[in-house]
Amino acid sequence: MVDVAKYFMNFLRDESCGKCFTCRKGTQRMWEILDDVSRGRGNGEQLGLLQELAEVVKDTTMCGLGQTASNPVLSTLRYFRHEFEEHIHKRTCRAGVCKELVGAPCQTACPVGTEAWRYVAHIARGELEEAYRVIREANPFPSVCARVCHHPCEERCRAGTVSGQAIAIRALKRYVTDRIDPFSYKPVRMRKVTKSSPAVAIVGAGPAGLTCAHYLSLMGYRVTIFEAEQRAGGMMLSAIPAYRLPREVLEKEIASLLSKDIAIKYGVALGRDITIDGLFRDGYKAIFLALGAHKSRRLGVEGEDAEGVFSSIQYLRSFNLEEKQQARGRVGVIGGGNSAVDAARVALRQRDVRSVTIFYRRTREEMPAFAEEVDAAVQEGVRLETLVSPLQILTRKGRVAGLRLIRNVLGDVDATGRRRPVPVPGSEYDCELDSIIVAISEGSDVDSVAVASGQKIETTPQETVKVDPDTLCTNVPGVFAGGDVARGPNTVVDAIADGKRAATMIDRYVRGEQLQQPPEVRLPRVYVPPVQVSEEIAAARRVETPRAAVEWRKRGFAEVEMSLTPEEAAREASRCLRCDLEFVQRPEARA
Amino acid sequence: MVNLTINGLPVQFEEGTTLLEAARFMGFPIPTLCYLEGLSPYGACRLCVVEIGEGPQAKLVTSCTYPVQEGLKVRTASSRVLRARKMVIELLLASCPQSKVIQDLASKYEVRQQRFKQEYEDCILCGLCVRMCAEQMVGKAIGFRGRGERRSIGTPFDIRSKECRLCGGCMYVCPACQLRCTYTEPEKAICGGCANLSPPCVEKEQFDDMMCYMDPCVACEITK
Repeated sequence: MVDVAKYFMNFLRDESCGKCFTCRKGTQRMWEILDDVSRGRGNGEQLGLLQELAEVVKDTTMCGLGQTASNPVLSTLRYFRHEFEEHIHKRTCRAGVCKELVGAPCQTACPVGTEAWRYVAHIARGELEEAYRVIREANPFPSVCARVCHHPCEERCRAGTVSGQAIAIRALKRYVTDRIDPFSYKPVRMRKVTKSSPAVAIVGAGPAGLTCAHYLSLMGYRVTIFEAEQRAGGMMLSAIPAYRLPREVLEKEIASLLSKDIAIKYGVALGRDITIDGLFRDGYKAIFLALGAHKSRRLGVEGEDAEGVFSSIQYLRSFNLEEKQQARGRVGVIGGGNSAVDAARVALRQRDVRSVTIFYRRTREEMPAFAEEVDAAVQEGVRLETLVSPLQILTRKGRVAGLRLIRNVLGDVDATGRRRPVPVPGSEYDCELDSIIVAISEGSDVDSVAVASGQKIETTPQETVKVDPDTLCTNVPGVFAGGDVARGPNTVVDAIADGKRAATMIDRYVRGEQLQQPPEVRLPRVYVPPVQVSEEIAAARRVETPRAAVEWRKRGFAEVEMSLTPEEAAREASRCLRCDLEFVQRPEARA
Repeated sequence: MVNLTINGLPVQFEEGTTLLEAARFMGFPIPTLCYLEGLSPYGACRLCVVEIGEGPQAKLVTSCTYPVQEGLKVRTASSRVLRARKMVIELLLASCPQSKVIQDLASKYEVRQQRFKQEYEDCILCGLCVRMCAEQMVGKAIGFRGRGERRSIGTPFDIRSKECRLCGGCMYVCPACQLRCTYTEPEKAICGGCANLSPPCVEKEQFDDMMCYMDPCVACEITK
């Protein structure tokens, strides 16, 4: 929106006839301020000045041009003031258009700030070790993210916004991580761990907890992780199915992060076995809560406690950790998120399952699950029943017999920006089912957190721990929280980002430094020489990620997505528009 | 005769009188920059704005160009007017801080800060010189060119116009260059020819951005 206002002002300062001083100079000055804001040089006072100036310009000019000139500024300030404030205080442009704040969009879009442009450039040059180093420096879970990341980088990729053919960044990452051993990377140790090093406790060995532990140990802390399960991995292990993330890949990656400075205690749950006060008493200087969100929301309809009704988290966990095959016969999955699709695809691969149907209350376009996952599920034979809401779970002798549904139409747009489903009276119908999996969002077990502390930790109505989004602090000093327990159910890469941030914040906290520090724009800094690109490659389309044949993949839990061939990878990487080159100089040019 | 109220005071003026003339006649001060008695009103500087009308219909107009109207209610110093005026002065100050006229305005209207990027423009495009040349000197040697940011004053094709008689009227009325030309100490004056018609005959090279349309300078006859 800042850019929209700036665009209009740029146009108007040319178009103003120049007679009225306020119109001529006012539009120039407004443009100047907007330009400062869009370059991250603005300050809070400038917004007030901008508003004041815009109102005076509107008031004091003679013709319609001047009187309406300020409208773009005034209305963006009125409805999108937070965007202006973000530009000024956080130095981010959420639309990804202000060049000086965005740099390479792929890098800025990445929650952990991976220099995607840089490793793509290295792949184009065939330098795989270099590429791996770039990936691993930003992200301790490259192989995991190469498979399950929701790739915000590709959403923002300029090649995609220009021609709709974004670079397949995740597939390229996969190509690199499949060929480089995670143990080959030796992270830089900033401080040595000794007996007297400060101790930090982390609750939960999921992506957030493990990332935090890894970085803290590099910064010279003794870290203890408390994990309720018997294995490390959190949701990556208990919820993400093996066909998306093979277990040996995950285990290897986790093993590469652990060191003798990180102790993991399995089977220890917060609230049950340990408390926050107890941890402080045991000498831990800081605590990072990364419990995740393992509590499924309930549907709130009749018959929900019948035999054969599972929550998706419980269902996936019992299969992934205990190899129980709970679903059988005709399976219905209620919900449209990723855990619904995962549960449906897992159910499809189970022995006693005849058919799987996903019931979702809006249309396919509104489903929060990743589109490619939905596509894959449909290819494998999952039926998609949209615009229906469950009314009642029908039971026979305490066991699921079916589901009573009502059809919806889409109504007005709600607060989430999606159209609200409105039930059509009289359109109820029944559907016979043998198992039902409920996958309608998850919450955290916040009660265990609140109870486990003398000073009550604040929580939100969404069943998350309340944190400052910038510093991840809770209301209790020394207690930090991140990942799903703070954000609600979210992606792996966001959890990793939280873990990374928590490590920095805990380090600052223990050393007694200011937690909040001025934001820094990460612009590309390293020069990677571009490769010669033939016209044929420049015009090439996005590479299709190879997938296993549908018939074959339905039979088991082998990985569905495959790695690119070296030729495909080099070609795809060469398509990159190299947004970074605008910001870096060749070494010889700098001299 | 037209009946109207200015700041609540019922007054009567002849048709065709402008609000500025009426208000000043009644003793209400209104600052101006592009207005000069004897030249046609222009309405460019927006300093002389006054509020007319009532309720949601109330609006700001330039008093120098607005004629008196039957039943009109005029406020020359409402908060809306003062706010606009202050902002205009602040903008002027940001563009042309060296002008004595603008400095005086700023101090008179208590503009104590200037929050924009400082510029040192030679010209605020008030158009006094253009009107002076056309109306009083009947020369029409200079005029406006371009629009928006690139609007400027000059002779056609930037060559000396045949119409220009080097009368110096343009320099005489200029609110922006007064200080430049005469400076505070006459000895240090850039040229001063236009103001006091006594040539200090300085070295011309030092003053490459001299504010003078007269070429050569009428007083010192130095060619730019």
